[in-house]
Amino acid sequence: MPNNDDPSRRKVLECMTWAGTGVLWTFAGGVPKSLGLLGDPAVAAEASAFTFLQISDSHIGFNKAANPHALDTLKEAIGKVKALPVKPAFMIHTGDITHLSLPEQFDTAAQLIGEPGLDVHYVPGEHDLIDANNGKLYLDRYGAGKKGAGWYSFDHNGVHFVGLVNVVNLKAGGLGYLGAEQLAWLADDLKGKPDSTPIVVFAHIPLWTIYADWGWGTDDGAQVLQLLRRFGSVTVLNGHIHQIIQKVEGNVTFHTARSTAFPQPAPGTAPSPGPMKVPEEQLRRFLGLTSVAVKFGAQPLAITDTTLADG
Amino acid sequence: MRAKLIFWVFALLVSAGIGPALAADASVSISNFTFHPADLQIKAGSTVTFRNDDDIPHRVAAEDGSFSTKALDSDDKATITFARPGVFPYFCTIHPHMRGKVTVTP
Repeated sequence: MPNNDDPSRRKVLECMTWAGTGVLWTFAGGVPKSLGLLGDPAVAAEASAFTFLQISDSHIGFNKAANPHALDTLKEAIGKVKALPVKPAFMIHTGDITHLSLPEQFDTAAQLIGEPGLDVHYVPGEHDLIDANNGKLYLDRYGAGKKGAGWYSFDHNGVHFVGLVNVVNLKAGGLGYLGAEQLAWLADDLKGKPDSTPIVVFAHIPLWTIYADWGWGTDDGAQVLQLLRRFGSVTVLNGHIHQIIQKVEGNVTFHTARSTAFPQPAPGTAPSPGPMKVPEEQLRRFLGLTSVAVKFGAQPLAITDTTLADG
Repeated sequence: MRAKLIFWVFALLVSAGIGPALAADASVSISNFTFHPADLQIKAGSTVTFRNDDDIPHRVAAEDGSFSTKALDSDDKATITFARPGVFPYFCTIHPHMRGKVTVTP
């Protein structure tokens, strides 16, 4: 087994750290390639390392010009998950599972996203709560054991995961919204956790303001960041904007995922954030998945995005 | 004299907000995540039909909770009757940065 001075191993770890710090966040390589690296015996020796996948904005039921075949592109993404040489620990889905919160859309999503046989930890997007009863269908399906509108936390191999809901009771003129009850729960949830606990927070709408004119932010997101400030490693994973935007602030890495359904324009580059039509042959470069590798030590988590066009 | 009487009956009906033919119904188109027109004036008793011309669903609700539509998919419509005078700011509950206003005069 190679030791720490083995140049090939050092190179791999440096490369992954580089990806994780956000210097390189586009086209950092495919999930299969990334997990191929993790499958390398040298890297596998890293104690307790594991990976999980983020899938987002599947919008089951979307069939407009930007992608008339959104179900097919989700199937392609799920096909990539099933083909991974190393099985991820689980998936998180950061919302907008469905386009219109219809029962048959939830059914299709559960069946398809369940195919790889991984646990899936969901948070809702605003498109998942627009049934006649304001989210009853979502909570009936995914609300068991969760608090309030569906927030919760869990632990995996020493990493603390927190799923937040910022798409309920949105205020006129406002952005995403968490509310006092959820923030109080979060403060309590984090209480007593050592500062060294790696934290992963996931929610649908970005927790930091990317572009307020399009509602791309969370009104009370700063209060979450205040609660997370003392932790040495914090990763914030969001969806909603159907493109990758990343920033690093202190110990916090923020990252948004691609959709599997349709692209949206870069902030401010179009009259509205509506679905963006790109040439058919380019569509798959705008859709994809995110893989996160957790390694223990002082390094940030390595986030790798892959598009449906990657081999 | 007869013409004058008809005028006053007409005026009374308008001011009371009754007589469907007299109520000027209006419509608001939703496109590019914007209400058109965003500032609408109507007479009491009129209706406003919201039509979604976007490729994404929207849901219209009054800020004071006095009305809300179902989620409107592309090309869906919903009609709201404004029975009483007042100013009714509204927004999209899915995309709350989208705002509009209906001013209802007697």
